[in-house]
Amino acid sequence: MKKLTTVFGIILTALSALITAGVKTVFCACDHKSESGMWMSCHWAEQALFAIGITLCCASLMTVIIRSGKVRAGLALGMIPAAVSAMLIPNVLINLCMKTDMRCHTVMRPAVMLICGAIAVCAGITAFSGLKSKEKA
Amino acid sequence: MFRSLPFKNLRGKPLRTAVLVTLTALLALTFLAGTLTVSSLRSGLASLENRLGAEIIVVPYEATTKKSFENIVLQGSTGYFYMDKQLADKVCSAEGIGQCSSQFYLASTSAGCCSIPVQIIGFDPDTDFTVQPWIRRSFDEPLGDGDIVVGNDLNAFVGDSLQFYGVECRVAAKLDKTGTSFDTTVFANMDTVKRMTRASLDKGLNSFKNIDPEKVVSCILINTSDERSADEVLNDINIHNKKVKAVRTKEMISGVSDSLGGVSRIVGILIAAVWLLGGVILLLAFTMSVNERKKEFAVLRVIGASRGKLARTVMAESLAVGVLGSLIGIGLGLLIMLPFAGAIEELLAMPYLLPDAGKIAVLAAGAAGASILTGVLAAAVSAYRISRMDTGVILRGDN
Amino acid sequence: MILKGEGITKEFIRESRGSNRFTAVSDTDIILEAGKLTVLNGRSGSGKTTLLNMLCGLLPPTRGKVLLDSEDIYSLDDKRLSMLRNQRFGIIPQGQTAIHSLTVKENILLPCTLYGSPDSSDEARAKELMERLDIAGLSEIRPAKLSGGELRRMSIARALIRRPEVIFADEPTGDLDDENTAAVFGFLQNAAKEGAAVLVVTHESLAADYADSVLAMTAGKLKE
Repeated sequence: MKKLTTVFGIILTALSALITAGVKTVFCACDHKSESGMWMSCHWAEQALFAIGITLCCASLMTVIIRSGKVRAGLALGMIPAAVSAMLIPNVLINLCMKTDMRCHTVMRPAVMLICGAIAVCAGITAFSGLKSKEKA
Repeated sequence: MFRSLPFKNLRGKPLRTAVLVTLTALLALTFLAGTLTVSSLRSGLASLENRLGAEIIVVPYEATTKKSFENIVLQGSTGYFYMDKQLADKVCSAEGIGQCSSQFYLASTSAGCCSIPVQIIGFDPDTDFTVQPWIRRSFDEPLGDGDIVVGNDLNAFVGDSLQFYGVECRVAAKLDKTGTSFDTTVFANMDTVKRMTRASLDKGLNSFKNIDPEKVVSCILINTSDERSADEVLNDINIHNKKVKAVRTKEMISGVSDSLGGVSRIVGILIAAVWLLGGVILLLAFTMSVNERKKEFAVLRVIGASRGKLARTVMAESLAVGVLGSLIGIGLGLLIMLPFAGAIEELLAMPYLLPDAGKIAVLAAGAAGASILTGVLAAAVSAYRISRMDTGVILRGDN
Repeated sequence: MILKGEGITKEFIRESRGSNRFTAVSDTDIILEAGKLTVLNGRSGSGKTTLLNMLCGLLPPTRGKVLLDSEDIYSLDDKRLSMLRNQRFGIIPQGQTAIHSLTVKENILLPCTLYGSPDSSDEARAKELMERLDIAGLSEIRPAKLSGGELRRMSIARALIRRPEVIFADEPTGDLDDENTAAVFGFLQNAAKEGAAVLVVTHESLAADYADSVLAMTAGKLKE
């Protein structure tokens, strides 16, 4: 079980790194400012996702480094609501662009949904296996 | 135990099984992605044909030379062009015209409601025969002044209030997805759009300063009567009116259907290549896997397995691999193709409309079936050979 | 129960296109009776294994008949002949014959699962055989971890699991030391005493000590 927890901790770290780096690169929001010179609202969604991504990275890295199963489980459990919040950011908590055929809708949102969904599932497995792993005295 | 032998064989060689499952998953993924893309493009084209809804469209001559009309309809860009309203009345009164209705185009600026411009189309509720039939699917009342109907790709919902050039509008309905440029268009009745146009002129936000919205229209949509053919009417309009150009909608979208043909061919070649490659690799993999276990199969024969039972063991292995692989492939395919449909549409720059859930399920089942069948056929060769082997010779093999 | 080979001959074509026919077994008569252990020896290539394969239903003779209680076993279709092998014959082939994805116990019980599922008496029989063959401790181990002797004993247990009427053993002691060899022959002798007809093909001179009759094969012909 301990090995499984570590493996899933590593997967979690990779996914968290992907979401953090991804929102700023491959699946970033629409990159232009509106004609009036203001950032479009999707930019703020991107910023919020980047911040949550960094939090997820730190938490997942700790599930790999820390050896205690219960602490790992606690960290992983905390990641679930963070991942779900990240899923709610694009277009629910923060509005995206007006046209849904724009990049923030077509690329950023589905990518965030998929990766954060995977993070929530993996965090659940990590928490479960962390709780089940035997503590060495 | 004998029944579970195929599964135990698969578990006993995890790497080989993983390779076989991955390969089958790849086959299923390619089949699904390919067929779903072509199917979505086909429904996109059908939807476009449907939405244009007229046999002939008449636009100002410069709109065809600058391709601004084509770009609005096919590419989803925004724009406007105008012609004299009297010209429109003249065209509509010509011989052989069945239905005739004009529309007024306006592009919003990014200020106010939206971060980027959207196309606004005003129609005449009395004569319109192209827009209202499909507005009625979502909204069964006449559009009042200040009411707008938004395309499916606009991030606005019924009851929302949007401003165009300071004119407050209420979203009365949201249209079903069409996969075409109409998904990002805002529709309103002529009066509402003209109000917006006047507001834009008052604010100096438009470049067409010398236009009186009351005296111009952007395009005329025509369906011919039974008396004359569309080509005759088209020629008539083009000969008698210098400043306008009539185009057949069929010809306008022929470019799209040509591209669709091209994409279909590429997808077809891709599917064939992956299928051929996957089929050959699966064939080799099953042949090798059965060959290295020849002696085990001979032992099964010794303890009383019939030729049929041996063949079924091999087939069960391939079926298990096929089912697992195609489930993974279909799952991955749906996870990519459905959420990223918008991105794929952008990439292809063609009308793209995902088919309904039932059709997607049929395509997924077809892709799964095709990849399972490929695996089973590849294994059938080995199954046949193993059932025909000479047990005695194989058992002596290592002495 | 009596198994008879009547005038059985096996010819092989050595090269695919030529008419280079090679007679492995020539016009041979043989009788295996219940309760008797018959040893068949001879030099390599004398046709012993070919004869054994023909008798146990794995290799149809070119000419002649193999009769089990006066029924020609090669007149049966593949399914019925396979069931016959499963239910009435126990065959110990040459070399290592384990199914690697199954445990020792699963390998031994495999014949009981081909046309049904093993019942408690099969389980008990497997346990008894493993104990008598001294491999009881290995029942959950996979064959890859077994020694040659252990694998051979597993193969014997598998052949005997269904209490066959005829037991065919092809070089059952080929790769075993003297102690294991004696144990295997003792075991086959016991099976014969319990009522089975046993045919052992072997080079091993020790085999004669356990045999009721010894046959010798030279260039496809049988001599007593």
